[in-house]
Amino acid sequence: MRLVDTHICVSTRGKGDEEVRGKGNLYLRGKFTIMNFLSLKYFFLLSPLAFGLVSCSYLPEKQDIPGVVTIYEYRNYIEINPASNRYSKTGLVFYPGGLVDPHAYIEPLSDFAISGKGHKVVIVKMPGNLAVMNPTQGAWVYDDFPDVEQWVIGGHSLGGVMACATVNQYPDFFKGLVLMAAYPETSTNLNNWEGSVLSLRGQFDGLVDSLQIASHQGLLPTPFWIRSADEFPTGDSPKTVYYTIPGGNHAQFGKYGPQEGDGTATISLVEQYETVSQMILKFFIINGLEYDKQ
Amino acid sequence: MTSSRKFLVFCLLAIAPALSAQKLEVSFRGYPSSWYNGFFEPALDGGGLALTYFHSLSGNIRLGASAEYDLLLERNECYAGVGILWKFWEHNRFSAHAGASVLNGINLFRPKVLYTGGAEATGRLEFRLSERTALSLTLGARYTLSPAYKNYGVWRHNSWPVGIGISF
Repeated sequence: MRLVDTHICVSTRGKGDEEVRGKGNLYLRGKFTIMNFLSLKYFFLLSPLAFGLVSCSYLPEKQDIPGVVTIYEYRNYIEINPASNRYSKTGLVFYPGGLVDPHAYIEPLSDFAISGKGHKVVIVKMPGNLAVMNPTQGAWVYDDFPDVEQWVIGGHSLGGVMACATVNQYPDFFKGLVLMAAYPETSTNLNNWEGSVLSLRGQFDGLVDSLQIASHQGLLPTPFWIRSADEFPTGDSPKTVYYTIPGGNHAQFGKYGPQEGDGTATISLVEQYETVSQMILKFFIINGLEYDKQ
Repeated sequence: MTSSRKFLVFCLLAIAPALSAQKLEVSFRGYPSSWYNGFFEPALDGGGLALTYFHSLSGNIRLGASAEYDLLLERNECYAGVGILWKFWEHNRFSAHAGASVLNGINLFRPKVLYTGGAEATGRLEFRLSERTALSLTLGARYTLSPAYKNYGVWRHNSWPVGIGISF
């Protein structure tokens, strides 16, 4: 007779139904029991399938890409350049929101790519569309684009949370941080970071409320809450500028349709991403990041 | 979501009877890739978890049925696969196998899931721990395509799956 610990090794149809008694976790070999059903084999089978049910990513909606940008698709990222190939020496590396296809951000970020002096924008692809699976992926872009002198990192929702984690790990790699409906997790303290932060949120964001953002402001440099781009604070000291987009919501930072749990926006997608572009451009200008490629 | 649920329930039902037999393997897999949409670019696509049931046809030939869940760049996907494994070498507790399988699955997107499919050739080294338990190292070459994803991004690519598994 062989004792079988059912939680580790369930013997199902064995050679004869040897009986095992006397211990709580030991069972008749070959007999179906509830604990048998919940055993390791079934756990391994059910858990990924169950996870699969809830891990569907949002497909992008059709992206209306202006002819004045050039887009390159790579395995690890999507690169957006102004078609003129003239751009600021400061690039933007961007983390998509959790379970959102990275292509959903091409149209919104193309608007920023052609604003001002032009910008190189790199949208990082994540395993499973979850930035948490590889939060430092954005730090790799340094090597691939030597013509860009400095980088600002940004992210939407979970992507923003992980952008904070990247800055925390590589504080010297980035000059600025742009958060869209995001805030750092409590283990990420950027309060003493020397870069500046722009935090954007839609007024009708149903997934991230202003209280959540406000309650985490102690983890970021000195806060300034503004109501228009004209109120951007100046000065060299690191700061966090908070701006709520009137009429905006959570999903309209990308173009992937409505999101479960989100509020209803009263402005169009185009109005929201144009506002985002203007605010990021202003952030670049105020922080001395907007200058030409030689 | 509805069709993805149906597919996953189908996978569950298809595999469940096999669980009463002994040769079930759980393996963790990584997917280094080299080529996508016609371009060469080495990358690490992601990783996944696979469950495979083996049914012996003869001493050296096994049929396999697998359910697989992968987290890859741009998407999550599930596959149901069927294949064959041929043992061509054995020494003490070690054995070497060659295999091939076809894969059918779905890319997990909303509001609609997308079909994906592919084929894989594998080489496999197995180390028998006991009569019923074995460790395995698998190296393979896989080609997958997702025709409906063509309008979005990378829709066909090849990868070189590396897997570590335990069968019991």
